[in-house]
Amino acid sequence: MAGPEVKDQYKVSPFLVFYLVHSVQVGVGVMGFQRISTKYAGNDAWISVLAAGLSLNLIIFLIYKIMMKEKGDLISLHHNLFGKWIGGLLSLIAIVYFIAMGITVLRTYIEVVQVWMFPDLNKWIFGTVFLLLVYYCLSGGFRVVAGISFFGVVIPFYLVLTMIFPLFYGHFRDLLPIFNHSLMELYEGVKGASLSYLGFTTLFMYLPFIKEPEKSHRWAQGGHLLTVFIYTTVMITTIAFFSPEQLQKTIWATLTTWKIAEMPFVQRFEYIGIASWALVILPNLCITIWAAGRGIRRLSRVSQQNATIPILVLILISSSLFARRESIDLLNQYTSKVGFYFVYIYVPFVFVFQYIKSKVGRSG
Amino acid sequence: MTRLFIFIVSMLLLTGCVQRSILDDIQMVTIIGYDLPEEENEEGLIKGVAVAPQYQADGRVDNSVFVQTAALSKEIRSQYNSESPKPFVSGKLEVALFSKDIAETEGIMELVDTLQRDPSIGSRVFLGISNSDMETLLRTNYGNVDTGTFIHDTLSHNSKHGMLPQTNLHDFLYNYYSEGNDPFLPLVELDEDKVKITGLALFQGDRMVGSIDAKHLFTFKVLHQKFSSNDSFTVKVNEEEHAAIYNIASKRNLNLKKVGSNKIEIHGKVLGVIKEYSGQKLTPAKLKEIERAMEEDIEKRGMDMIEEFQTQNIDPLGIGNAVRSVTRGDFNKEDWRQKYPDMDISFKMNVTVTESGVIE
Repeated sequence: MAGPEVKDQYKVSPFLVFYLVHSVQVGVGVMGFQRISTKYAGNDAWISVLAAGLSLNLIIFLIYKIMMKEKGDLISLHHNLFGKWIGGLLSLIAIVYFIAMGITVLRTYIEVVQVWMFPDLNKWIFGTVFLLLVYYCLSGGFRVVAGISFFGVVIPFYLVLTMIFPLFYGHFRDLLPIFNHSLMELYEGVKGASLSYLGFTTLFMYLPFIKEPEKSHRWAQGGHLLTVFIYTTVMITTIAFFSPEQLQKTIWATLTTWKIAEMPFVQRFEYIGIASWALVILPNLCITIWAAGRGIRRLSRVSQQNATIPILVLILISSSLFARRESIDLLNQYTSKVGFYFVYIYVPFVFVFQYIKSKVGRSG
Repeated sequence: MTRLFIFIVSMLLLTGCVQRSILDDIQMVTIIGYDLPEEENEEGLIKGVAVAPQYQADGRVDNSVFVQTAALSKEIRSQYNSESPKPFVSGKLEVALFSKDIAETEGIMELVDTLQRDPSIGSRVFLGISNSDMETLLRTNYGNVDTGTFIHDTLSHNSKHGMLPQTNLHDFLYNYYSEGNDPFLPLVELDEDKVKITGLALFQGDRMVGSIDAKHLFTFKVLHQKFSSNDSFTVKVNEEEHAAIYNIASKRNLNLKKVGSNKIEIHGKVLGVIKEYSGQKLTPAKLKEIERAMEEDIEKRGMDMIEEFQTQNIDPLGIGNAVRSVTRGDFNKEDWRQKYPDMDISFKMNVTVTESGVIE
């Protein structure tokens, strides 16, 4: 199976990959990833976050190595490496994974709005309206998705500044002693931090839509590095702001730090922050749902538009089925577990497999 | 066309999904006080006193006071609703006060829990302990202001520029959950038509076990944190002469190098300006004398305070957390608690008078 042919007018500039990678990573994870990481790595959790981030730079490098050889997308890669049936099955799993990410993001965001702002918010109505907006963006094609992710990064970027408020209450002694945890504990912390980094595997799907994809490599790395920088900063701030047991009781640590913010014009900053977060969530959903729809379009003869609507309905229904905190937490845990193995085991495996296959193919 | 249609429909749907709260139609509680009920048959219950300001058209502020008794503080709230013409909201809460009785017998965590659980309550809410009767304290009219803001401002400026150490809901929770800190809260009391800060209440866990008098607050703040303040500190140089130091900047430093042999040194460094002096002439020698007198005075008070903390086995200064930060491996809270009373903690002060006002 050959890679997809994308007309030049549908392609976007390489630098937009910076925003595509960064915006799909920063989502619901960053609202509360601190608790999960510090559970194991304690005050060294920022090292876990940093290590997880830098190791993923390597994974992005591998993804580019694979894709530059393949000159296609994940579907054609699977088809060429594993044949029509096994390859098709793997592609299907990837599509389900992208949809699951969409469900996780939407449901977690609705939960946050329900808990923090409007307890009587109807999740069906909110979900429908939000997904209509997503559909509206998706109907414009990949170029609009890339544009949305640009704005999804630039407009809410001011939120980084709000991390200044907790600094005034920081107890930086809490970061000491550094390296007081075993490698195993740090590794568990890495696993806990991974949900907040996931999503960049959508690179596999949209690389054919990038003009001169090889040039976009450094932009992808850059976008990811920005995420690493933000997460590490947020983590350090959080460790200094909370005492360990207090943090373990805090589900959305980032949002709770906003409770300390004081501004003359607004009593509760969370309301502004969470509302702005809708702009962070939007590209998240757009990219994952676009990737899923694109996958279906490439696997079958269904057009992407026709594939998108059932996906949206599926996301709406299944995300509304999760009603309790525990089930939403479980959903988050499973998505992050699958994502963790996807990037750390599957991607290196595909890289090696592709390498061996090309060697064997040449000699044979 | 379809896109435009979807867009317009979204715009219409996006409005009015949830319950609105219009300012004129809600009861904004700014201060809440918890007390034990007087009646015998109400044992195990909590009396809650809430004050909500009513802003009148002519600029007057009336304070409506609601008193209810129930087992849970949210239950109290639903009882408030039953006697109020407008629904209660807690988003504007500024101060939560607890009576000394509750703090000493039952502990306040059960009540603080509802404050930290409620997303609409900010982390900057002040907590306080009061020995006065809660209902009288909150029913008192403090002038044309709302009671919550009045008490909040009293506490706020004193902790920002005065001698009260930094304290709010977040600090309380931080210290409460921390392995090497014990919380403390301001003590307030009704003083005719004013609210007066009378000291600090010291906690072990969520139970009040001791207190510090207001005149020792300066010493406590020097021991506790880095700060700068506009309040003055009076030094008694000798029998007749006194000097007032103000514009104080203070830093504390912990020397933890000898923790292994159970020795901790606290260094306080204070910079100040002389504002008032009752003696004849301020010579450089006199300045030295004032500095030394202040050093000795604070050192003595500080040492008394530290010894008191050690006998009570409470650690409001966060020495445990400092020890944890230099301890490799697991820091055991229980072991530390056992060791703490026998630690050799010393306190050294260094006072520098930088200016002596505009007159030589």
